[in-house]
Amino acid sequence: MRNRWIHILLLGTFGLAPLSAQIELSGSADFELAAGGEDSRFVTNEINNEFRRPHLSIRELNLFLFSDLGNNFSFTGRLQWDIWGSGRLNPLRITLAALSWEAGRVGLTVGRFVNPFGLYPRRQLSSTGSFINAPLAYGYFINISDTRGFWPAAGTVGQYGREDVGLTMNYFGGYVTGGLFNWVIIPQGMDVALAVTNAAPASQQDYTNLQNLGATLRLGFQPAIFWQQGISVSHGSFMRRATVNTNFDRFEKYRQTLLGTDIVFAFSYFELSGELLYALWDVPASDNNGFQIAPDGNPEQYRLTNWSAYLDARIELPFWPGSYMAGRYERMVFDRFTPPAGSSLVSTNPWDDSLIRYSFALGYRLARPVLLKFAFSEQIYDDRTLRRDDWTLRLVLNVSL
Amino acid sequence: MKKIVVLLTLILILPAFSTAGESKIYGRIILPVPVKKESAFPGMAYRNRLTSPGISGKKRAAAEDVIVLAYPLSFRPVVKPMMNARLLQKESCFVPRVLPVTPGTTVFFINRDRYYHDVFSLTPGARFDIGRRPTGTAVGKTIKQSGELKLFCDIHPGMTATILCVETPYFTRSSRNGVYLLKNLPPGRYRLEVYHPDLKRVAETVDVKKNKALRVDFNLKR
Repeated sequence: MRNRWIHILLLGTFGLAPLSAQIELSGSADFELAAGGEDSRFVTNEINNEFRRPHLSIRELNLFLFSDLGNNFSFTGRLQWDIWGSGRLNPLRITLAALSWEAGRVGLTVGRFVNPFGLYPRRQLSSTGSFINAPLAYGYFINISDTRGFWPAAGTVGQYGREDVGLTMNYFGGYVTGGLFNWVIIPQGMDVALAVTNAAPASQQDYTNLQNLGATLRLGFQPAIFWQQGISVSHGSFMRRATVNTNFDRFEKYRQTLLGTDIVFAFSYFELSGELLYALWDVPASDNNGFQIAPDGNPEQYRLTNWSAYLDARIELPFWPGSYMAGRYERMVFDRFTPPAGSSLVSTNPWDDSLIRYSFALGYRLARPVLLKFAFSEQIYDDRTLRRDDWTLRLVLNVSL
Repeated sequence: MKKIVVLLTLILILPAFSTAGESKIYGRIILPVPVKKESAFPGMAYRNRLTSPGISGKKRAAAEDVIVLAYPLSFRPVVKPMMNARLLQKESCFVPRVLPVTPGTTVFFINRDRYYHDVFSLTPGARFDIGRRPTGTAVGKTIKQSGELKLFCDIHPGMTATILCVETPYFTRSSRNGVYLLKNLPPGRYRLEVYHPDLKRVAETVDVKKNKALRVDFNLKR
C-alpha cells in the first residue's frame, strides 16, 4: 500500500513536470531479441529458461527526472519498468530518487542513489555499457541467501522472483539507499566517497528499517589522464526475517565484507577496464535438515569467501564512426568450505560452481539517441566440460528519449 | 540593468554604423527567455566526479550562439576555406557552441580540460570520431559538406555543439547583447538568415546599396 502511494506521488510529480521550467525529463527504452542455451537460467546467465528460444521483448523502459532546485540542491529520479528476472513485466519501481547538495568539491546525497562501490554501477545504463549482460559479480547468483545464509541448493532449485535463489556478490541494480558524502580531494586527481546504507552491497532488498546497516568507502584516483583507479571497501549486514528463519534472532550479526578495485585505461579509440571483487561472508548455513545450530540456540556462523574479476577491452572503429567492438573475460572462483565435525553439511570444494565467462559485443550508434548492440556470451564451469548449453545471444536497440 | 545597457548600445553604437561609409547590415536579435540550460541528466547521477565536474547551472549566453548569414542573390560570391578555425573543449563545454565555417575549412578541436574529451558527429554524410584526446591535443577535421553538423562528446553526454558550414563568406556572430554587424558587403540583393541551434530560423530578403547601412532587427522564436 505504501509503495502504491509512493508510485502515485512520483507519477504525479512526473506528470506535472512539464508545468515547471525547473524540471528536466528524459527517458530510455530497450527493445531486445534474445536467445539462450538449453540450460539457461536467469540466475546463471540472465536468460529465463522459459524464454530461452529466440524472443522479442521490451526489456526496459525508464523515465529520468532531474531538477535543479537552486542553492546547490538538485534532485534526480529514475522510474523503471523492466522484465528483469522472470522475463515478464515487473511492477513499476523507483530505482533512483536522490536529493543532492553539491558545492565545489564537496557533495552530499540522501535517498536512493548510485552505489559508489566499483565501476559497473556507474556504467549500468544500456546507453553507456558496451555489453548487455551484467558482469558475473553483479549478475551471477551464488549459494548465499538472505534468509538461509549459506545454502547449497540456492539457484539450483526455484526461479528468480518466485523462490529463494541466492544473492549476487554486489546488487545487480547498482543502487543503494542511505546517505553519501563525496569529496574531490585533488581535482582530476583524487576523490573519496563514503556511503552509509541500509544494507550490505549484496542486498536486493530496499530495507526501510535500520536493522541492517552497511557502509561503503571508495577512493578514486587518476595517476595519469589515461589511467583511473578505484579502491572500494564495503561492510554490512544483509539477512532478513522470513518464514524459514522465524525461530532465530540477531540476524544483523551475519555480514558481508566486500573488497574491490577497479581500473580504466583509455587512449584514443581504445579502452581497457575491469574490476576485481573479493567477498567475505559471515553467514549461517542450512541444508535440507534446516539451520546448523550453535550451542546458544542460534544458527552457527561460518565464513565463506569468493572472488570475481572481469576485464573488458573495447575499441571504437575509427573508419566506421559510431561503432565499437568489445570483448570481456570473466572469472568467478569459490573457495573450499569445510564444515565442522558432526555437521550434516557436506564438505564442498568449492562451495559453488566456479566458472569462466567469455563475452563479445558489437555496437553501432545509428543516431545520437539510437544505439544497436549485439552481444554473445558463453560460460564454462570448472568441473564440467564445455556443453554449450548456457550461452546467451542478445540484440538490443536502445533509444534515449 | 541589462535592458539599459542594450538600449545604450543601440543608441550610441548603432548610429555610428549607419554613418560609416561602407555597405553594411546591422541590427538587434531578440531571443525568447528563459534560455535553455545545459542538459544535466542522466550524466549527473552516474558520473565520475574526477572527470566530470557538475553542471554549473548557469544560463547560456544564448545571443552569442546566434549566427547571422547573408547569402547574395544577385551575384555568386567567392567562398574560400577559412584559416584558424578552432573549437575548444573547456570546463566540459564546447566553446563556441556554434562555429560557422565555409566548405573546405579545417576545424581544430582542442581539449583545454585536464581530462579526456572525445568529439564525434553522426550527421549523415559527415560522420567522424576523433577518439579520446588528452589535454592540449589539437585534432583537425576538414569540413566538406555544407549544412549543420552536430557534435558530441562520448564521455560527457551534456556536451553538444554545431558546426554550421555555409556557402557564403558573409556571416557574423551576434554580441552578448544581441547586436550584430555585417560589414564590407558588396552592393546587391541578399537573403539574410538568422541561425540559432535551439530556435527556428528566420530569413528576410534585403537590398544593400553602396556606402549605405541598413538596419534589420529579428525576433527569434522557439
